[in-house]
Amino acid sequence: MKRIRALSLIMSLIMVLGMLTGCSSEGSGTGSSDPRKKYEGTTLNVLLKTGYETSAITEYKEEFEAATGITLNVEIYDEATLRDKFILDCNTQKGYYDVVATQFWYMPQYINSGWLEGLNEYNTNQSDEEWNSLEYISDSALGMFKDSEGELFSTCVSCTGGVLIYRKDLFEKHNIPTPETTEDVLEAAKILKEKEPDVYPFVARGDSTSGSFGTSAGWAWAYGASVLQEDGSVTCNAPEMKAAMSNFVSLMQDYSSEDAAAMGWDTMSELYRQGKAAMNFDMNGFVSTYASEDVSSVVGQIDCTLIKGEDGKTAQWMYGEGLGISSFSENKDAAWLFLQWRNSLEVTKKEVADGIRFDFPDTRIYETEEYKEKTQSIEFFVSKLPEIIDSIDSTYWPSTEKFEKIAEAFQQEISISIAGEKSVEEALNDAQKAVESVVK
Amino acid sequence: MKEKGFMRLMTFPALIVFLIFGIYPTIQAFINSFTEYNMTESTDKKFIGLQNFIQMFTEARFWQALGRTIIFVGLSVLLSYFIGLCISLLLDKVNKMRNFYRIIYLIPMIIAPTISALNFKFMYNYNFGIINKVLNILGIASIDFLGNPSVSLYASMAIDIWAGVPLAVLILLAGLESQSGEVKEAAMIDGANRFQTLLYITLPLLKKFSVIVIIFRIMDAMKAYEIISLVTGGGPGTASETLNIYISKVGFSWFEMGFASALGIFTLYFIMLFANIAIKKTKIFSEEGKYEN
Repeated sequence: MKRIRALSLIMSLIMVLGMLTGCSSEGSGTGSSDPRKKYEGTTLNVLLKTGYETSAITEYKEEFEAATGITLNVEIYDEATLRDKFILDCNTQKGYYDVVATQFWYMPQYINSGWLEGLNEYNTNQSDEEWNSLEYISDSALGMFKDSEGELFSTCVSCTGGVLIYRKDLFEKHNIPTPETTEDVLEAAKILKEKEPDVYPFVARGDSTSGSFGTSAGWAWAYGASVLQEDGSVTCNAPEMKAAMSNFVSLMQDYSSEDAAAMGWDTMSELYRQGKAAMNFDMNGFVSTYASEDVSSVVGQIDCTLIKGEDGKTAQWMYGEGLGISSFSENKDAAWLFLQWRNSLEVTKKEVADGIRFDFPDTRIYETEEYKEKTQSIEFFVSKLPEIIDSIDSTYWPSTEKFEKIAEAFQQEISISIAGEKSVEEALNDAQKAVESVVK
Repeated sequence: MKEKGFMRLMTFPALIVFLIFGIYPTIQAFINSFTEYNMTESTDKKFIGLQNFIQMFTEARFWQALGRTIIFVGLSVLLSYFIGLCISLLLDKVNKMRNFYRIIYLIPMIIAPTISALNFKFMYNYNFGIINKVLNILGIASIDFLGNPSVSLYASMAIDIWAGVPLAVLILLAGLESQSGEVKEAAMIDGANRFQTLLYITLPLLKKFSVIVIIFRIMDAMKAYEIISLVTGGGPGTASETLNIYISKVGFSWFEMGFASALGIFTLYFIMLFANIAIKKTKIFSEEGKYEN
């Protein structure tokens, strides 16, 4: 009995000690004069999405931990799971996650719900001179992560535009000029279908998920069409949208793989990397993938270009991913230090050296010798990057809390039309009704 | 008396777990179903009476999803039962390597639905999938399993059938092994052929086992989520969207918890109604005197 009591007493003491030491929210530091060591002992829970933006964190996190004494507990999920986890964490207000990867299309929802910490004050008062790179990131890239009053809620880790990637070897072989418009793409597809029967002339995302909305909505913008207008009115069945989607659906139905209505980014890129497709419209991030000898069989055979539509606007595939700090985090200062490190030129240079990616929102990297040397083989792409980034136009994007529902309602109809179940006109009329009911 | 008290005490932890994880969420979902509650909006829950149910019953998408669920469950259960029956009849006749075959047929049941779904997604791929490669070798044109709205639901169903057959084999084979050979021999002596013996002796004696298979498979198929979600995502459009997929979209893509709860409560009662009818009609528990009590 005495032993049990003694054991209980020891256990209680351990628990009390544990609570006293564990309750401190942010690491107390070691008293070191190094400002980066101020949060030593802190553990940051970081919620990330799969993709090349995340690779740098998993590859170099030990270096951050060594420099700051902060431990990173990284969780990586697909986009939908990441969002689920963040929303559930915010609803419980526990603040388990300190840092979260933010896709720009969810920013209105996250900002309006008050789930992300504003970063302007941190940027002004707690800037790490060497690591902070915000001033070198363009306003258009940072704009995706700001509210209407200019408060920044995420740092911009990646920012991509839409490009048509094409097989220059096949284009040269058949004397097809580089496409400049959506109509040129259709014309090129017609020739390729006839001359290269073993290659799909065109591939793009066509499945019914919101992840494919960027393709059809971006193509529509080349015709000046968008799902929502600035005043909130729905214009899914406007004449310019019909013209845009007729062109796009025709490409997907007649010049793409039979399963185009189920094609996501994965199957699309697989076809292209295996040399089974001649043209691919998507975000510019895919260019470096297709140019990588490790995963692609079309290295040295590709080029990319911007495409304009009837309205003279550039077809878009805008994507922006950032890192934000949860409003409920108890380690916000340490999290801010991490955000600065992630976007630092030091990490960016490492990403280039290791070939993780070559498109960055921090424009300083493009002038470095390391970058120029490393990107010699994809000079065709990096030389166009400034033009691609300049072409990004976010006005077409439905920046609303209901983005997910609107995007899905529209894309489902486009997918069904690609599958041949509905005409473009029918699909767009149904999309109009569906999106209107969401907006109401 | 003491022993009874002790036994009750032993069931207490299970009861607590059931109350917390079974009853409490159901009650909470029931309450939520009468509210407007979106987890992505900062506003509180708002009581809206039967509006969620009215929206549900007046929405074409709900009825379409329900229709697909009925087709999915009906065909999946019937086909997995029929295939399971054929395999178990064959296995019952096999003497050599009997255990080997049994283990082989159990493999689909052991594999996690997520893994099966991802494997099948690759196998179904129009350009790279092995199924189309085999079809091409046989001189048959490739089938667009995932992008054709008329096929995608059945493509998902085929996986559910593949995963459900082992359960049917397991139970029906046990039923066949428990049957006495004497009755069948007597029938043969009386002039019955093999087919007649199967139809009038073997199958009626298997009734109880068949009912168990069907009830278990109905519950399984009604719960099918991972397979459809990972293989077709409910698409193209909403061509393969069943109730479970729709609920998950409403709940975890749009975070409209009030409406998702209404859909969930409907589905719960729908399954209970199905199970109740099946149990009553087949009197599966009444023979044991359990159900009627």
